Amino acid sequence: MEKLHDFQRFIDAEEKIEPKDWMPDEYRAHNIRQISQHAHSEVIGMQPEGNWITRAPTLRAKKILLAKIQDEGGHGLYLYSAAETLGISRDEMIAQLHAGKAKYSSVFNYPTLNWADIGAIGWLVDGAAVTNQLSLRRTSYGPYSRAMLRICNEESFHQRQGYEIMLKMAKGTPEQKEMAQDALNRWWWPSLMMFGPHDNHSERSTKGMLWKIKRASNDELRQRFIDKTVPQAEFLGLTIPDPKLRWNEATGHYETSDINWEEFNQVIQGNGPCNKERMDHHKQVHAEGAWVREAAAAYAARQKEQLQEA
Amino acid sequence: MPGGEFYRRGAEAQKILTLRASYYPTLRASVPLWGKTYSPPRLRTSAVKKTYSPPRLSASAVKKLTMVTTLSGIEELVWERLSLIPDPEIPVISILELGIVRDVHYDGEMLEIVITPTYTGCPAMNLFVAEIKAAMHDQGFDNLKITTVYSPAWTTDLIPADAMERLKKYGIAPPVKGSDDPFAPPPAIPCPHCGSEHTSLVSQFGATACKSLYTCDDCKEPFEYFKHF
Amino acid sequence: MTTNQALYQYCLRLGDTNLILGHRLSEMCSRGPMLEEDIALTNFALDHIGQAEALLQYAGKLEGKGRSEDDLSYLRNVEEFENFRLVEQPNTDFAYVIARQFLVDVYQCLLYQKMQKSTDETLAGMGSRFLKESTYHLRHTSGWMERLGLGTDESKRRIQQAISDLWQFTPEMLTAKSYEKELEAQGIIPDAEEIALDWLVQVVRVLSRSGLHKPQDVAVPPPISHSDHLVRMLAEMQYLQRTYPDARW
Repeated sequence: MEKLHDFQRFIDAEEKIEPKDWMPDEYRAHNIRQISQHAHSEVIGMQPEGNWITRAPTLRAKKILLAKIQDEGGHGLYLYSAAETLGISRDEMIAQLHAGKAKYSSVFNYPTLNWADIGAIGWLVDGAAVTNQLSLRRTSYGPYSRAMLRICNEESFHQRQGYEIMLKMAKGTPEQKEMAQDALNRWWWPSLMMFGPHDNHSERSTKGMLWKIKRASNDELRQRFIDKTVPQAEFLGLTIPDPKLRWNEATGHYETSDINWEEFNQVIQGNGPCNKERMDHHKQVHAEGAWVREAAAAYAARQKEQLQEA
Repeated sequence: MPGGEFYRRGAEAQKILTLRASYYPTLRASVPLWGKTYSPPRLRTSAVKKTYSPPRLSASAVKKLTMVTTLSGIEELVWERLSLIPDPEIPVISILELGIVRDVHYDGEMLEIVITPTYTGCPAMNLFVAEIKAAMHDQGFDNLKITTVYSPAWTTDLIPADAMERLKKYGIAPPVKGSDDPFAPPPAIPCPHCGSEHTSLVSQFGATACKSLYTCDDCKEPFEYFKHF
Repeated sequence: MTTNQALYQYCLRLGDTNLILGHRLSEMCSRGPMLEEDIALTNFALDHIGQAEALLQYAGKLEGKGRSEDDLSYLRNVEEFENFRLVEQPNTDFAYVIARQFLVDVYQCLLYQKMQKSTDETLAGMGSRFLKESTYHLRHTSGWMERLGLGTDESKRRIQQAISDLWQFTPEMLTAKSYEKELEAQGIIPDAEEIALDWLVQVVRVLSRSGLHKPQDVAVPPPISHSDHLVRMLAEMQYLQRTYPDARW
């Protein structure tokens, strides 16, 4: 109890918890769950976007997309490493993902049907992610907070590039504009869902706030995202697919319809348009790569042996 | 008309200085595509504040430069202005410190800025160019040409020591020169967090082409290493 | 053929090779055997697309018809592509990806090294820039040649198979086209025969260190034409540009 009390005092003083510090098991588990989910999201997110590298319409667009996906892979790896500091291995995390015990962001369970989707993902999905990550720079676990600091800069760069694609499409031919509007229609609601359910006061989320793992509530972050994104859509000349959307002068915020929570729950439970596809792909690739990982391990073991003999 | 020419250049220099005085570059200020209603997230954490103060001219230098009306004087002002543009992904160093600007020529009519890519496919180059263009337009240079050269190739050897120090404080291990032999083992990379040299390479290729990922065997921190080129 | 025309053809040959190899590597995105390789291969793809962009931009300038690097990439037909046949071969498995990449990496390192001394300033500049990237690639792929060659029985079998299957495409890569002779004589481009000799020495060195054997050379290389693979790749790559000719991207 004494330890727990000190731990809380430490956190309340906005100090960072470091890998070798004492921490409650629940704090450790909470961070593992959150950081690994973040890592899995980066990795699964490579699939819908990777789809379009070979079809990107200019070399410049191809380069930007490749670099973005490399960034995501890199962030995934960075986050896996950050989670490993809590005493879990990447293999274990991947096994949990395959077993359905660990989650990734539901937004990646939607398909990418036209080139404007790549713009919309950058603008909306990365935009939502950055909104969340900006608040996580102040999270209490040191390695995660420092990772967020650097990752945010790179992801806001993605958001700008996504917006740039949207701008080109929205100001392009009628067909291009139609693609842009179509992409916005399909990605708007899934992006809002990224912030999670309405704030409840479940024990887990209370603990998350108490331990300063989570620094802002879901609804707060969602509102922040809406408020900054609606004017951007106006600038593009596109329509947000929500008839109830309106500016509330009194609160200084936009008001929206409620999210379709039925859809939200379906996608979370694995019944989204691409859940099975994404997981099957990941599992298949992982299985096909087994011989490579075995070879690398065998080689490394032999090298070590030779080193010891010498 | 020599007199007119002289006056115009003086006015241009004046413009540069006025703008610089009121200006610390943010991504928003120079990128028109966002429209006026939106300001993208900016880093405002104490960590960054502590480690990075943007280069600024002293008051006396500003005064001295206000007098400048020669071509080379104007070029100098352009260099100064470029030194205020941060790297979009690593905002603690400027694009000048990164070493992508090779030359600045001003002939009284046209301003030419010669740059070299960090690496061939670097997508940030487009952004660098956009930032440079926006900054120069702001300064009144409408006749602007950006030329890309590949040789001599960009190298991390020219990043100044204090920029390296800022990189480290930001949490990125700065470049360490290793052997030229492609098959030699890579040099030890000290952890930017605790300074330990017991670190392990996780992946030669990291989130961006210029970085690798390491972890520290002592404090356990995962960290990025800015590769030596 | 004037010098400019010959140099245009040569830049197409190098540029297309990078473009198509970059395309093949892009297909590997999210398909690496481990996350590290996903990242590395995406990085390689990016480097090759970047090199293609620079080379094709220069080609367009040499041609003098106002075609941009995008026009050349997206609006030419399959018979106009000059890439090495080696790089259009499919990603059969990770061993093929590594073997193909390794054979090209050794070639490009040698090529770019020598290209730095070109009497053509632009080529010389590109050579010195590209060499840094290719050196990183070669370090990576030769490491994998060794790991797979000396790893398990299965990995050895697979990498040997890949090298043997791809070997038949290497003479085309190493042989100069007739229009290159004049450029070589003027010191604009490196001597292809010199590169071929060094290439063999380096490749054999890595093969033997990796416990692999050099495949038999084909006595008479088969007549070379593009494969069906390239047609399919271009259909995919060019689809947006061709479907919406009025659009700007």
